[in-house]
Amino acid sequence: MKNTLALKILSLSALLLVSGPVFAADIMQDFDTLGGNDVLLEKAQALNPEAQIRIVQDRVVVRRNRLELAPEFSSVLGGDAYNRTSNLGLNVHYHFTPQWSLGLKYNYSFNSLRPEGEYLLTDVSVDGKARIPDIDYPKQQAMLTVNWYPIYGKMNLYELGVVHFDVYAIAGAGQVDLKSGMTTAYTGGAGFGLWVSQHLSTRFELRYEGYTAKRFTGDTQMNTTVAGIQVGYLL
Amino acid sequence: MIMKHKSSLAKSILKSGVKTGRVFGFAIAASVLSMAISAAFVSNTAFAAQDEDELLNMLGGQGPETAKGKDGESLLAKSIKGAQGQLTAEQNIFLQFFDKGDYEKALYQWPAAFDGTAFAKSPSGRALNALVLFKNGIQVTSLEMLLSIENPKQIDGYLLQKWREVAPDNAPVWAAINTATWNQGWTDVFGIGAEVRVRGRQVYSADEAETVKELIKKTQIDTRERAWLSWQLVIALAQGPDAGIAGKALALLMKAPNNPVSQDLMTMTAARLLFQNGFLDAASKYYERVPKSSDYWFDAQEEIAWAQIRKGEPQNAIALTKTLVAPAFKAQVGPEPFFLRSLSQIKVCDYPSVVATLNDFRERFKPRTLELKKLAESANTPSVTRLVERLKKGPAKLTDLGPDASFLPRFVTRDSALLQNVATEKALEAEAKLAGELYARSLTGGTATVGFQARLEGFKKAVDTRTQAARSATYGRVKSLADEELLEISAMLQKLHIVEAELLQQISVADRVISATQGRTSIKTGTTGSQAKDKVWFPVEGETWFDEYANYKVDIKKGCAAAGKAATVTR
Repeated sequence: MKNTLALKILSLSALLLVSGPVFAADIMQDFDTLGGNDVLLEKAQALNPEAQIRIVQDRVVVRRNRLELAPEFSSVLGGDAYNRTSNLGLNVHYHFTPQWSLGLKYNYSFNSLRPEGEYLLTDVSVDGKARIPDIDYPKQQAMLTVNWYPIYGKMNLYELGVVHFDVYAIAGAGQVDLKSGMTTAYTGGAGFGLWVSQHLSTRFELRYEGYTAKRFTGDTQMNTTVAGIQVGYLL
Repeated sequence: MIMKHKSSLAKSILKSGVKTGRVFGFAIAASVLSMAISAAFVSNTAFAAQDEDELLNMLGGQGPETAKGKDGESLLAKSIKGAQGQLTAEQNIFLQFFDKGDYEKALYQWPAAFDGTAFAKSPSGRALNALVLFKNGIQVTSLEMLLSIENPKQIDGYLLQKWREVAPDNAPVWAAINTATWNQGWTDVFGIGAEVRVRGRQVYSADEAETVKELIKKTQIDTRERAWLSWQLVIALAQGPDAGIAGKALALLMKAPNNPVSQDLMTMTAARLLFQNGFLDAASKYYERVPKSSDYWFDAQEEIAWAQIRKGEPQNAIALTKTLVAPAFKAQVGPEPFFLRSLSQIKVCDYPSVVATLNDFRERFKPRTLELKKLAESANTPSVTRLVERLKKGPAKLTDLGPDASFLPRFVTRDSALLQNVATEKALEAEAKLAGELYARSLTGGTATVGFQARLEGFKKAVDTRTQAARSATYGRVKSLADEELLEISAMLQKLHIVEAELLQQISVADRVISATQGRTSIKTGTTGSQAKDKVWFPVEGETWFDEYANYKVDIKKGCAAAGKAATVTR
């Protein structure tokens, strides 16, 4: 080891003495003698510090005291067996911090019969009369929601751009206007928000929504699942 | 003169009428007829007299649009006569073309009129020849021809006046003139503005601050020339003991309008002034102002890293240099960040990483050295040709050069001498093209004298030669830049060998370090990366995403202390 060190220092001294423009012939040899020593690498492990390297970067989209307007299309999964409900709506989110936002959600509902409902209307096999399904369908609804964004991440879209996202939880309550009248509705679920640019956002949301519907036989608890997509504009 | 003739004739007619007034009736009719005839005669006589005068005048060397002296003689003719005596017929033809503003024909006529004459060799003749060329669009060459006249005072005043008219101090042509052509005599002719526009483009050395100061005094406030010279002064002062004055001058310059120096370069210079005087935090703040889009951003990051290591924060230098040594930036980044990185790593006793950095340097710069050596031998490569074509379109960034950037010295887009060479080459190319067109047109548009095309062809070749010389100067500059970068690589290679020797030295005493540091813990927490309130954290994995550059943060535990457990390096 000592011999190696002495040689190295000698060669370095020679290098320094000959430094200057007259290097062309030797420079390639100098490259070859730099590093690449496996024995050296093994010995180097003796004092190996713990180096933790992380990436600390800005959020691509600032979400502090910012308003987001997000039109939404959603579809109700489950719920009434005879009725299919789709919603067109608008969400207004106010982001206090990147972790918390408060929202207002309004949906206007479009209802149509499922095949089972259609079948009831045309089936006269039992007593020669068709039956009308008992449906207390929603017409519109408005809710106040709270969003919590505890998980963040980012996606690399084929080196075209990096998009940050958040996985969030949503909870809220409001009023739903049913065929039978107004009633209270409450919701809870999770979503995936993509912050595409400083002004463009996309959200995919899946949430439970419950309310009480009125039937001929009395009140019925409706437990529905709503899957929605929002494309938002951040002001 | 015509009016005068008419008046005297009318008087004589009136006198005639008085004399014949006694035969009244006939006399009136005769008088009217006589007046009509007389008027016609007078008119014809007057025009005939005018034509006669003009012909005579022409023989006297006066054209209809010529600037004339008090005696009515053409000033240009007078100037020529002053040098050689009487004008020849060919010279008269030249003068007519010149006076009519038909400069192209004047150019064709020049050889027939003046070749071999004493006037052509005189300062006035050379100035007139250059003026005709200038009027034909050959501006750089002709102005440099004029400036090559050693004593401007020997040039006729009328010609100097004409030159002042065509080349005022704000004419674009001054920006392409060779700075070496200027002598003080021309300041009296073209004014201080022109002098500053030519001499101000020189790059002055540190010991020429007084020269620059004198030149600044000649400039007007808020002009591009003053800003450029002030920049030269800042550079000169910054290299001397007057860093404080340099700083103040730079602060003023940064607010100056019409400033040709890039804001990023001035910010870098401000940071460097602070750095060299030990104000490391203030320097870092200035460096951070350089945007990522700037070609200076890599230099700024490197110098922030130097500030960090001087502050005893090598973990931050490691974080910053992680971006700089990324393969994605191999064309933009020089060898020094590798040295800085290895130095930082050895300071925290991260020996495996030192070895990795040494190897990375070898892998990166060995092939680049080969490329640069080729370039230093001959700069006539496709990459350089494309570079020159790109620079002719205007300022460029290294990223604008695409893959060619890897085969060029990294300062090619920032080197003012190279940019000046390319600008001159562009101007001369345009003149060579124009000279070719003039030559082609001269074949049909010239005078009856044969043989003058050969002279024009000779001139065209001379412009071509100058253009080639400008191209050679461009190649020469690229070669110099390649040489400079090779020297830089060589110097860094030597320093890395020293780092390797230090590494060997430290490893040889590692046992002692381990025994001395058992049970001790040291933590060096990094402060790089985003400082925003709403920052996000991600782990470093094998894959590097482009948005992560310049956002690294390194924390070192147990640096230069015995590893208590199997060390893990997260990369």
